[in-house]
Amino acid sequence: MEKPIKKYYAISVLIASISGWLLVSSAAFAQVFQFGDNEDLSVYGNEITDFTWMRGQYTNHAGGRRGGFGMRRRGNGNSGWWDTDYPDSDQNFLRGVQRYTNVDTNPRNYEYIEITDPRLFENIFLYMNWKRVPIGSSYSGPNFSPEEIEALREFMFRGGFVMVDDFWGKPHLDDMFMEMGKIFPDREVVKLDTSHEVFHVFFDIDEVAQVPGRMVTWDFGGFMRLDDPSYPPEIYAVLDDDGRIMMVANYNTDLGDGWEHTFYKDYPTKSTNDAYKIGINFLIYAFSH
Amino acid sequence: MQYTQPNFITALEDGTFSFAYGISPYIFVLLVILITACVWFTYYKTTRPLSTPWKTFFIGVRSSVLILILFCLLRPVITTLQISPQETYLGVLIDDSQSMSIEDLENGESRQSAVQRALFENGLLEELSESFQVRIFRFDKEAQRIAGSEELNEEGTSSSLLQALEYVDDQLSGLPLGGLVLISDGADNSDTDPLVKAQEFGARQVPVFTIGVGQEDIPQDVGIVDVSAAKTVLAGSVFSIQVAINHKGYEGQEIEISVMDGDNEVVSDIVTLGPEGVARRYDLEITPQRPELIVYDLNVELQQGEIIHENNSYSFLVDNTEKEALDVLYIEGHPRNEYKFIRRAVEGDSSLRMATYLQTGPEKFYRQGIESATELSGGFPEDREALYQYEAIVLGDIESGFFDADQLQMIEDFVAERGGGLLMSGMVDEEFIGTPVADILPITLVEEGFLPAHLRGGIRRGDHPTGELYYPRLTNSGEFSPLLRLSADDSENLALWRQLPELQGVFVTGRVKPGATVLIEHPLLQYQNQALPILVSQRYGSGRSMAITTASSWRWQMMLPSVDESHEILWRQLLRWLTVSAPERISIEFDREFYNVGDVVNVKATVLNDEYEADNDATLWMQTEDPLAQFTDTPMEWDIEEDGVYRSSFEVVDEGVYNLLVDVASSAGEASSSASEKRAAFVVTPSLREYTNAGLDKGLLGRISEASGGSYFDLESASALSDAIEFTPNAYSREVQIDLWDRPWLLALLILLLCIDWITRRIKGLS
Repeated sequence: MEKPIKKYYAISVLIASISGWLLVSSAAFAQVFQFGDNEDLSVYGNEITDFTWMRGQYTNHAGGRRGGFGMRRRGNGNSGWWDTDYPDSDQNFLRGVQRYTNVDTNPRNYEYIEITDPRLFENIFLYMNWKRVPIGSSYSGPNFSPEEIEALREFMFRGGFVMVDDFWGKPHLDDMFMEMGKIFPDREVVKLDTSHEVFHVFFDIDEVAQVPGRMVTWDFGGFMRLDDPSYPPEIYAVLDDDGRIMMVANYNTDLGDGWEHTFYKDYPTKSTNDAYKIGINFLIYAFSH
Repeated sequence: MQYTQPNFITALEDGTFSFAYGISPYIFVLLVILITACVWFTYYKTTRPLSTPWKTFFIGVRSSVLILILFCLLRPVITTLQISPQETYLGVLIDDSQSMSIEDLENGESRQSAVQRALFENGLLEELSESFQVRIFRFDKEAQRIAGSEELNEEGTSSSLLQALEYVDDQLSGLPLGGLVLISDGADNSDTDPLVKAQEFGARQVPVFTIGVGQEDIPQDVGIVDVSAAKTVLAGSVFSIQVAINHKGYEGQEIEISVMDGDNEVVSDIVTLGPEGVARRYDLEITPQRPELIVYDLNVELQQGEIIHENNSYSFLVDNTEKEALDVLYIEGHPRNEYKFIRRAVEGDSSLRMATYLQTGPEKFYRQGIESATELSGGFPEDREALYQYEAIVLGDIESGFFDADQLQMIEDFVAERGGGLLMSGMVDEEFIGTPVADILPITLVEEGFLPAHLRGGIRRGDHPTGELYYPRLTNSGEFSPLLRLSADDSENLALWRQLPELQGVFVTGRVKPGATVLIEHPLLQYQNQALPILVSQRYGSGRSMAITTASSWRWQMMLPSVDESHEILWRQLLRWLTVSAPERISIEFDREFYNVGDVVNVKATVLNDEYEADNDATLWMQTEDPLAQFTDTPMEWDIEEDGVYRSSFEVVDEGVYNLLVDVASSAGEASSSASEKRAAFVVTPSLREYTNAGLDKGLLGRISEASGGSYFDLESASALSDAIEFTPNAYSREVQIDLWDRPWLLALLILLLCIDWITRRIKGLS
């Protein structure tokens, strides 16, 4: 399995980040998210746990492909951004889930899957990263095929939960509405406030915090700062007929980066914590609704 | 024995013949010999010669004439018992129940019509009135004196011969009762024995004369015998309607049964009739569309040649009012797919409420479906009162250590004593071995270390046998169990089961306990030559327990199209089955499912206190709303012979729906309204009893007359009734002597003999 390049970067700074991690986690909750070092995942054996983290592969708009940037993507040749932060974010999040919840899982039980793969229905939770570059571009993100639309819709109608992450700015938001409209032409996409049950099902979350991408911490691109009022973090959702959330979309926030940079010393601990908290809440909600 | 006016022959046989002047029969015989001898002497010499036969002939004829004259001169009489005209009373009882409207007599005449014709039009009653003071009564399940035929209406919904005899006896007590005439088809359906009363009449020398009406054997009929409606555990508001049909003369015939809601047909079915004379049950299912009490009409297709039409239709009540949901407490050890989809299945079922306590993380719990902020706030209930509010408990992958010893014992008491249900879903913590929970379960718990190697490995996915995919196999019990019904049709049900996706993983523990019923089993894996159970249940004490040894039923939701309801249906049915047997704090029972006008309704209320023990200290009032919206309040009395049971009864007088509200005060009524009052309803319908086994029961009527000293008559021979009554001994009969000398036949015989004598003498030329 080929790993993206930032994985190697992350590993290289992982050990150094541990001491910094401990220091900045003096607050009680911050201490919650102190993980070990770059552990050998083989300690978890080969058992398939009850829960496997599934990351969805999907069709991108042609203009949003990264193929021209010399980075060959995994999967079916769609060459989109679906594997952004993979696999560190996936492993780290599972580590958090394993440690802080009773969900039967471990950091080895993650997969990516084409969303038209029938095996999708053997799971109840699907993560999709809708990253696209550059921010502000249109028609650069997902461009679901009819088969993908049908699979996603059916997955959610049967009871599956979809979490969409990591898209920024008004053009991307419009793209999100457009793609949601393809899946659910007759359903409204609603913005959730923190009074919703999903923000209290495990952790009590009173504010939708922005979990920044790398550009904030490393000034990657240089045009954005943390908590930039131009990029207010929001959570959108599509509900089923009984009012249950079928799909959440994290706008102007990037939980994947928050999980991925768990061990990176320069990454804000609070943001990591926020990423885990809301991610775990989504997962527990998916398991209970 | 049938009595009529005695004659000479019967009098000789009975020894009641004598001569009024006291002449001994022996002297009479002597005189006969003497007369014969004298005549012989006169014929000793004749004017013309006669042969011996002719001489004998003439002696015989002449002697007969003289003997006949002597016989009359001695005044022969018959001594017998006879009623004194107009001095005694006669009660005439006419069956006026619905069966008398059956038109099974010649030319389609009804039984009642034939009775009226014979009694009122053909003069039988008039004839009786010449000798008796006649009093006429009509009767069905009760009797009533009437003035004439215009008061007969054939509307009685049941017949009680005993009640009729007792009523008439009571009404005519103190009067010289010479006898009773009972006109009926004998179709007594009162569960009482009229023979005892008949014997009593016999002892008092009051003979009962019975007249049977109708055909003994109705040749062709299809009739509804009984209808019952019960809510099933099937998903949705599905009611199972059981129809009992009896028939005569239509064996093997296919007939249509239909259920109507007003003018709309709800369901129909074609059924094949079985052997005649044996009531066979047929099942229908209906799903009422309105949440209220609904009176349906059941119709059985009228067949060619049927005489009785009335028993081809019947009304019955279905109570589809919204009931308070049954409460299920679900304790789940960790977030998992099974939990999610069980919850979702129940959320769509208004008959169930599931309060869940999900252990989301170490020391973290999440409650769902709770009714108040305090419900389950302290975790698993710590006292029986709180726990017993639920009807069923589901334990899913929860560790034994979650419960303390008292709570484990409470779970056993919950099932055994309170009558609740327990479902163990998925894996079972080995630490439960030796606890009361292990006793409840329908499977024996065994530590994994004692299992064969190939059965270890756990329930998780993988290459180990117990983690693989498999198609579950329905056992024979499971195939026909209402818990696992996906379709009312057996073959369709099996087909739907074959279409269900594979399950994954099976939790292996010990053997199935004796008495437990395996409904689903593993197709391949066995333990001690016993297929691994996937779903097994048993009764435990007053309650039920069930174990589901897989955690993958959610696959029947996620691996099937979203429109498929199989997963929801199965879980709702399983949980309903677990909950429905748990008794409520207040329960109401009626002694019958349906009533007819005039029936007495016996209501039984059972009251339990907050620990679900019989409550004998309650005060109960029953409010009855009749079909005319009239309300009546009556107290219910404690039955000293049954703990917690209170009774009341009343008579229903109108057809339609009766609503009852039982209000409980005192200890049992301190909690919510559900614990202090209970509603119930029943329907009063037209009766079918009179049309069931409605043939003439000649045997019963014959036994009544025989036991009382009377006689049985068919309606066609009822003209002989008057004489029979007159000469049947009764308490008021007097002895009379009937003269025979003035009988016309004696004079005719005398003239005939004289003519013969004269003619033959002329022929023979005698002077």
